[in-house]
Amino acid sequence: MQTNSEEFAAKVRRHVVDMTHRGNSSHVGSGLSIVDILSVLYNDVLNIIPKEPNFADRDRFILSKGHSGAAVYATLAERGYFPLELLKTHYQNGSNLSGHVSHKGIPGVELSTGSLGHGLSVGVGMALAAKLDSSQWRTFVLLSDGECDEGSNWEAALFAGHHLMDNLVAIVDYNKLQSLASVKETLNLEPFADKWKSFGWSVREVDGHDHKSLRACFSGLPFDDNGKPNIVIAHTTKGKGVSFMENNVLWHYRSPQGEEYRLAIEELDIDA
Amino acid sequence: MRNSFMRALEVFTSDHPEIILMLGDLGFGVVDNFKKLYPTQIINAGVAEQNMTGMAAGLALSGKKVFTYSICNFTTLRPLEFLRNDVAYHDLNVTAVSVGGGLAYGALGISHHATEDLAILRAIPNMTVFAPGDTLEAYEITKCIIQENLGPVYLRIGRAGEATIHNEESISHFKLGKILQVKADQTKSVAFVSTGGMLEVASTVHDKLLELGIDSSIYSVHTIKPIDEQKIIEIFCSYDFVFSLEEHSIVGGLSSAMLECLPGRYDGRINHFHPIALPSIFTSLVGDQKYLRQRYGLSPDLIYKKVLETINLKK
Repeated sequence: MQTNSEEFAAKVRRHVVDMTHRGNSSHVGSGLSIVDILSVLYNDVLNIIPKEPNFADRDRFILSKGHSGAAVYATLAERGYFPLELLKTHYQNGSNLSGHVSHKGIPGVELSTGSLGHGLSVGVGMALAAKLDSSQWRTFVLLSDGECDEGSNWEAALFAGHHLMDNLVAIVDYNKLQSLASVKETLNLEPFADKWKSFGWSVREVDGHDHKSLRACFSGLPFDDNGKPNIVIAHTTKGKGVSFMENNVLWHYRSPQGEEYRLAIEELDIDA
Repeated sequence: MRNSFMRALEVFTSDHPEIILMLGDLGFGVVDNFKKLYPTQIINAGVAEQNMTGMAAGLALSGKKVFTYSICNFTTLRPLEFLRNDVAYHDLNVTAVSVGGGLAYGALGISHHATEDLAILRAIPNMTVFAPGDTLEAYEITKCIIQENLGPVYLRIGRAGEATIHNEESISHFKLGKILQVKADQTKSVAFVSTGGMLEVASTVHDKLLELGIDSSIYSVHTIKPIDEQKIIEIFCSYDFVFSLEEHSIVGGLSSAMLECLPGRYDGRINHFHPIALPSIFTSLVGDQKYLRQRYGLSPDLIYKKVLETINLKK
C-alpha cells in the first residue's frame, strides 16, 4: 500500500511530464529525479502552512538546481499554495512559471534560481539569520550533483562547517548524470561523502526514491550533537518513473512529445 | 571617506539591530570600533565573495539589512551574478560597499582598479548607485541607507585622506538622488559635474580658474542611479560649457548617464559638453592615484589646461 507521500509523488510526476510536454521544455529527467525527495519534504518534514506561505517560523526550502522548477511548482500546487490550473501556464508566454524556478508571483518559492551554485550560499545566509535571532526554523537546500562543480558551493560549505550551522540541511540529488555525460566522466565527485565530512558536515546517504528511508533520515535531524551542518546525499535515478527516460542523459534536454509522451503517461498511470 | 562611512555605520546602527556588516576578510583597523560596539552584527565571511554576497541575500530575505564590505571590485565584479540574481532580482536590502573606487589603489595594479564599476552596476535593475564626493556626502548617504529601505545599493567610496569639500551650509542641502551644488557661478559660463572623489579635483580647478577671474559652478552627482534627470537637463540648458568629471572609464559612467537623460527632454546643442574620464584601457603602468590621474588627464592642472583651451577655442 502506498503512503500519502507516494500518492502525492505519483501526481507530481504526472504533472512534470505534462508540463514539460506542454511547454516543449527541457529537464524532465532532472525533475523526475527529485519528485520523491520533494514529496517527503513537503508532506512529512517541512514545517509549513500553504495558506500562509510567509509565516515567520516556517522552514525554508530552496531549489538550488533551478532547472527542475516544474517539479517544485507541481509540488507547491498539489500542496495548495496555488491552483493546479496555473501549472498549465508553465513555459507559456506571459506566465510567471518560468523554466527555472522564480519567486515572482508564486507563493511558496523562497528563492529564484537557475544559475547553479547560488542556493547553498543564500541558504547559509538564511540559516545564519535564524541563528542570530535564536529562531528554530530550518533551511533546506536541494542541489544537483553536477552543480557541485561550482566553487561557490564549497565556499558555502566551508562557512557553514566553520560556524556550526546545524539548522542547515543540504540535499544532493545524486543521480550521477550531468548535462552531457555522467558525473564520473565530467568531473568526478568521489569520494563525495568524504569531501563533505572534511568540510565539517554530518553526512547521511539514502535511497532518494524510498520514502520510508527518506522520512527516517530527515527525522534524525540534526544528525550530529556537535552543531555540524547536515547533508543528505540522495542516490537517485535521473528520469525516475518512466523506464525509457531512466539513466538516459538524452532526457536532460529532450521534451516528451508524441508517442514518447503517450508512453510516459501510460507508465505513470499504471504506477499510480 | 572610508572612515566617514564607518563612523555613520557606528552611530546609526544603534537604532538598527537588523544591520549586519559582512567583511570579505578586509578592513584591518577600520572595523575595530564597530566590532566593539556591535559584536553580534559583524561577520567575516573570509576570502569568499560569492558566498558572502549569496549569504547577504539569505540574511536580507530573513529580515536583515546587510552591508558587504571589501575593496575595489571584490564586492561587485567578483560576485556580480550573486548581486544580480540573488540581491537585485529579489530587491533586497543589501549594500555592496567598495572602498577605493577608481584608481585609489593605483600602484597595486589593474586587479585593484575599480574603473568600470559604475557602468556595470548601473546596468543592473533595482540597483541604486552612489559615489559620494567627499566625507560629508559619504556620511549622509550611509545614514540614509541605514534609515531607509533602499533595496539593492552599490556604494563606491574613496579610501582615506580625502579632503572635505562641503561646508555645513552646502551639505545641509543634501538630498538622496538630488545633485548637490557645491559652488555657484552666477555668469553661468562653466559647470563642473563631478562624481565620487573627483569633487576635490573640481574644487581645485575651480579655485585656479578663479585666480584668472573665471568663475565656475560645481555639482556633485553622489547618486549616479537613479540620476537627477531634471538637474542634468537644467545644467545642459544653462551653461556655456559643461565638463563631467569621473575617475571611471569613459564607457558607461557619469558622462553616459548624463547623455541618457537627453532624448525626449532636451533639444538644445550638445557640443558644449566635454566629458573628462579615463580611456577604456587597462594600465599596467605602476603609479599612485595622483600619478595615474596625471597620466590619464584627470589631474587638476591637466583639467585646468583643458578648460582654458576649450573656453579660448570657442571665443
